[in-house]
Amino acid sequence: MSTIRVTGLHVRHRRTVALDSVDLDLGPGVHGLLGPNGAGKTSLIRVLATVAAPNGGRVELLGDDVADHRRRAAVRRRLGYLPQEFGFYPGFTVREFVAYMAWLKEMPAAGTPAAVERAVARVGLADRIDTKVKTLSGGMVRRVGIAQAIVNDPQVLLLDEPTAGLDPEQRMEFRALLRELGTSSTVVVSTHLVEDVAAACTEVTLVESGRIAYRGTPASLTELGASADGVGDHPIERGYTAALRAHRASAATPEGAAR
Amino acid sequence: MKLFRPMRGHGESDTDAALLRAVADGDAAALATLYDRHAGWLHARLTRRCADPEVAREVLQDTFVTVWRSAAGHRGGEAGGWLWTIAARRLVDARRVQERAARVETAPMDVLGAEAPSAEERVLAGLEFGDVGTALDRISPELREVLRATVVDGLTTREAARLLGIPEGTVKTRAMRARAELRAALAQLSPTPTPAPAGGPA
Amino acid sequence: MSTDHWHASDDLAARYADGTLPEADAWSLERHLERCGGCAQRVSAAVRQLPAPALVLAEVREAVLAQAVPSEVREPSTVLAEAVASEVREPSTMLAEAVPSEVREPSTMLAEAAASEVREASTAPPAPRARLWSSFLARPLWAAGPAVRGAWLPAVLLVALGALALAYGAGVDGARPLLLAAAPVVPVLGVALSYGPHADPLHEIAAATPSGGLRLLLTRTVAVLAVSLPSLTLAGLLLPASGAPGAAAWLLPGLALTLATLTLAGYVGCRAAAAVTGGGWLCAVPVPALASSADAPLTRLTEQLSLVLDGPLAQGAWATAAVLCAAALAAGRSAYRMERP
Repeated sequence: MSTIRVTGLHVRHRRTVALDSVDLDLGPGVHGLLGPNGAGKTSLIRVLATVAAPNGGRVELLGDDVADHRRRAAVRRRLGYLPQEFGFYPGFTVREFVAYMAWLKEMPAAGTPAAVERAVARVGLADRIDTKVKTLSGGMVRRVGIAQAIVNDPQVLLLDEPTAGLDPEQRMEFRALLRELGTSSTVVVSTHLVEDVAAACTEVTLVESGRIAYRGTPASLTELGASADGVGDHPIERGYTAALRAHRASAATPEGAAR
Repeated sequence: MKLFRPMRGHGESDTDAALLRAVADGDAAALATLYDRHAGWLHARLTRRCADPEVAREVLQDTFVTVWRSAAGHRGGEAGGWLWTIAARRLVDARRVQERAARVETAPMDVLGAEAPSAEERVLAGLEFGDVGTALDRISPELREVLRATVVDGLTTREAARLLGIPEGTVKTRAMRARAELRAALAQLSPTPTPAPAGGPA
Repeated sequence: MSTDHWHASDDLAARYADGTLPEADAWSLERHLERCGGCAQRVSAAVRQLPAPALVLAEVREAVLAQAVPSEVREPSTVLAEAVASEVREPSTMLAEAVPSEVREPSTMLAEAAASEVREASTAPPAPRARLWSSFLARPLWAAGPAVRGAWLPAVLLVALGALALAYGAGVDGARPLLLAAAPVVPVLGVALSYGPHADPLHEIAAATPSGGLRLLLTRTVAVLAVSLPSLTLAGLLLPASGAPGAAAWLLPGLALTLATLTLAGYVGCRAAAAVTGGGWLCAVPVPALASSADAPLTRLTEQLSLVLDGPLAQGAWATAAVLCAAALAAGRSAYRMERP
């Protein structure tokens, strides 16, 4: 069952093309979105999060076209989104912040306090739940952001660079959480850390210059790294660079451009 | 609002999968049917794993609330297995919250609950037939609970560690020891995959 | 599956239910129940035969179904339809009415809070009453956006108190016309500071929630109006009339300008929309009056205000404008789709 279906997606920022006729079909599991900076990962996540409208193409989440404003609210209730950067009201504690997000997500009030505690516990901040967000470190604020994204048990969870600012141990814990979340929902994680993908993702999508350069599994990317010539310390890193090079080469040749 | 929803006939399509689809479409009646079918055994199974009845109750409620919210994420496997996966994860989460509460109160709360071992002893006292039963009887309760969490309940090492309140490394070594001790007995049983001891008359 | 031909006997189900089934047998039954709906049903029935679990199961069932509310209850279109319908009745109460129901009925909220409290109390461990009540009290505050949380609120109070200080402290005759000239801009500024990436640090996350967009902006606009309408009108009432229109005369223009701002904001954003409407009012009414005649600017201002605010004709025109803006907002709500990248 595919929970995210994207066809012919086109996104422009003024004159630069961020995404160019992207087709994507994702089901439950953890999907790693890899690519160099500026490849279009954030643009794709923002469109999937229904925050930005595409210039062309169709986005279906959980079977509903998000361009239809009557269905959009229902879709958004089942959505979790962690942007690359986010702010908060200075007076909020962790609990208030996550509860406020639960309120914006229109969760039933009766279940909210328990859901908030669970989400905060899942990101390992249970002992900081009544601390003001502004006093937390960058990595902790990031985890608060993850907690607000998962508070409504979303079926589609979109995380833009969630591991940025986390220390190695927190990253490990976070990967375990990702695997857990991926059992029942569709998780899309954008990252530039190939090892995150290798450790936590069931599928990999490689984005380069606004196009999908590669789709496969961490295992297939590792295999590619073993057979093709890529650079990197780890087979999957070699696979990553090899896939990128192959895509660039095909885009440069006339056949590639005609595709 | 609910009154105006088209009611689904549960006549020919009342399989668990059909119920889950209806739940995904927001049909509360389908949720009620699903609850009546599965809540009983889930509750019994949770009670066997959790000494605190209030936690079992809360986990059961959380499980079905999660089902209501995320039935659309069900990938079409067996509904019972899916439900248990959710319940087991919720049970692990509940432990985490409890652990935190215990830390805050500085009152060392026995993570597994004081009654669990004695209940298990009682259960084991009644264990009289079957190779697996005999084998399980021989190994220590610590190994048994690790085996149950990792093999029967399908938890990851990390989750089992949370549930049982022991370090991950301990879960791994205990699981290895338990497997080694049980391997012989399980090999004996493998030619007849029917759970004969369970089905046999008492 | 290898166990397809095997099913749990009633005796086995009963012994599992009452917890007397040995561990090894329980394990194989448990694995079987994950795959066999029929046996799952039979064991569940056996569990319900026992009084204590039956009670728990019935209570949890009720709690679960109480939370299983269809998710389409709060469509934005319904809210707008309500808003426009009540608009026909009485423009000034329109937003005030439209949004509390949007923000969740206080009575339902109480019931929900009470219900969750009962559940929490019975579930024992982490049930601090204070936390529940603080979250209950927090909810109405959450409707307030960054404007009411931030610098805008003191600014409103400053305008109100400033006018009073001007009249009674400095003895300026004409504080009411000044207040009336400034008042319609106050809620418009509040709207500008309520929504959008420049005003709200949470904007990016909030925009991906079902409350995001027009719904959240309306909620926050109500908070803005709830603060500014009474405080500025009250301040006006306390001021000497000095020949100016009544203290409530600004309400309809204020509402019309606010609605016009909301309508425009869908296309150009809150900040630009507020600049157009608020700036438009300032350029049309107070600025020419205060700039043109240097000898008696306040008298000119009073005359100008009487012209645009006094009498059924002027007020009727503002009411019509408010209705038209509300209709345009309802019709153009699709402009509040998603941000253009």
